[in-house]
Amino acid sequence: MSRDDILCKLRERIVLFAASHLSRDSAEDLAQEVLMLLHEKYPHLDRLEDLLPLSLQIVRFKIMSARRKAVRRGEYTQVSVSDIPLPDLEANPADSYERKEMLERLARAMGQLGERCREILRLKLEGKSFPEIQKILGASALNTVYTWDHRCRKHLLELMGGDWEGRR
Amino acid sequence: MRSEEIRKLLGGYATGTLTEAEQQALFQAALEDQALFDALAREEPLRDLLRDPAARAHLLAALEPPPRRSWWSWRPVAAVAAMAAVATVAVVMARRPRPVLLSQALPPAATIPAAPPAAAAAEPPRPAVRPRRKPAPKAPPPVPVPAPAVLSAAAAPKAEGSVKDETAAKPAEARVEVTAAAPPVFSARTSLLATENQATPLRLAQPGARQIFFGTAQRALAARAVVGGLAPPAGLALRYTILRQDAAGAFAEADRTSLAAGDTVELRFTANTAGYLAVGDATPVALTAMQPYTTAALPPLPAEVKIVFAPQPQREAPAGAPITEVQYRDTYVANRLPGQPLTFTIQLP
Repeated sequence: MSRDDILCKLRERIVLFAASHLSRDSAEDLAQEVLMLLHEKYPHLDRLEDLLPLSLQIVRFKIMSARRKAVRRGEYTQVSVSDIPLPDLEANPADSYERKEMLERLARAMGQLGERCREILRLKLEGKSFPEIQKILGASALNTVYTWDHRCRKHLLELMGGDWEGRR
Repeated sequence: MRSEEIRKLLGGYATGTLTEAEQQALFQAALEDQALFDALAREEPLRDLLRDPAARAHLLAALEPPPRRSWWSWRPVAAVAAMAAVATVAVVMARRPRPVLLSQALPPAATIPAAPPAAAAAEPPRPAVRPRRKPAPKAPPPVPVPAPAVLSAAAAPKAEGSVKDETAAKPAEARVEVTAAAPPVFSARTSLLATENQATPLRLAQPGARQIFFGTAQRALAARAVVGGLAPPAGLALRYTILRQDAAGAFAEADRTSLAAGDTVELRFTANTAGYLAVGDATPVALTAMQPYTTAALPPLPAEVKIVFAPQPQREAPAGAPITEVQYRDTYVANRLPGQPLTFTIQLP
């Protein structure tokens, strides 16, 4: 698949995904911004394995940025301009806090998992691939490991309230 | 791979542990399937979090089973409890009041003979303070009470002026025993200091390569650097695993000791931070933090592979003093000097 084909498909997917979080117009704009960024800053990437994760990362940052911008502009709550604090460009305490909170929630949820799930998660966090995990755990088939991991991930997500960031 | 199987690969996306083939299958499917694409997008926060080695280390620590406490691990607790008990006993002993004899009942006098005031005044007072453990004297004879009518003018001021001494002047009726308390013996402080001194070398122990890789050493430094408001710089660290080609042509993890001449191997690297990796004379490649990178197959063994990992793309760097730690089939190599390139050589037999 050529780079143009990949970007074309990506645009379609991004618009539909972003539309579930933002308005349709905003979703179109966001997809366009993502593609422009890929075009201008990453012209050397042409593999799907590089383009898709990168575009997902950009989409996430753009959606977070759009939400914050909307809050700052008072689209949800009208606030006097004098009450809006100046942004700290060096560090973002809100991001750090959210990240820390997510990490704590994740650690707590992992602690409630069963022994096998904890072992699979530990191996994954140590960088082991599924075929390696299959050998270490002595599973008969790779698909067995996929199924174990799928169930563990589902259980973990349930313990996290259905969303990694706890926005639900 | 069927679509329901492909969905099961989602768990490996955030941890960055999918193989090339799995990634290809997942991403191809996500381009065609909006639900799968949305699911991938929802994994992004977790993937972003797990890119941070410190976060990984935190979660790994949370997944570690609690260490089983053996009998000797209770020794510090027992020592502290014993010291606390000794200190409590010492404090109680020091604060406990000595027995004080406030009063003593006397047999009532049968008759009170009238005596001249001079005789009463001339009677020497008994000592108010008696040494401890001195045998108690027998009950004194009844003291004659002087008749006020015959109290002489010379004796009156003395009697009025010694109101405070009145009790002391009647030693037979009230005695007070005062003895200096024995000084408490404190050995707890000494023991505590000894314990602290023993603990100091443990805190100053140098971090291992694995600790540096997972950022646990940096977190410890960060805790110390909070006061100064400085972010601690991270030392560059790599983890590598040797993958050997088997008869079927697939590459699988192998022990270094099991390698033989003629084997075809690949190296899989994971970096603790983003940087550029140069393997041998090849062009440096960019590594993302905690995302594994596998080299192409190396020339048949034996081989010596020079590795340079640096913040900037470079093939040469001054040889430092990297530290190495081997765990299972993973080898951790780290540079304690923050920001300095990591250079080392992998000897493949």
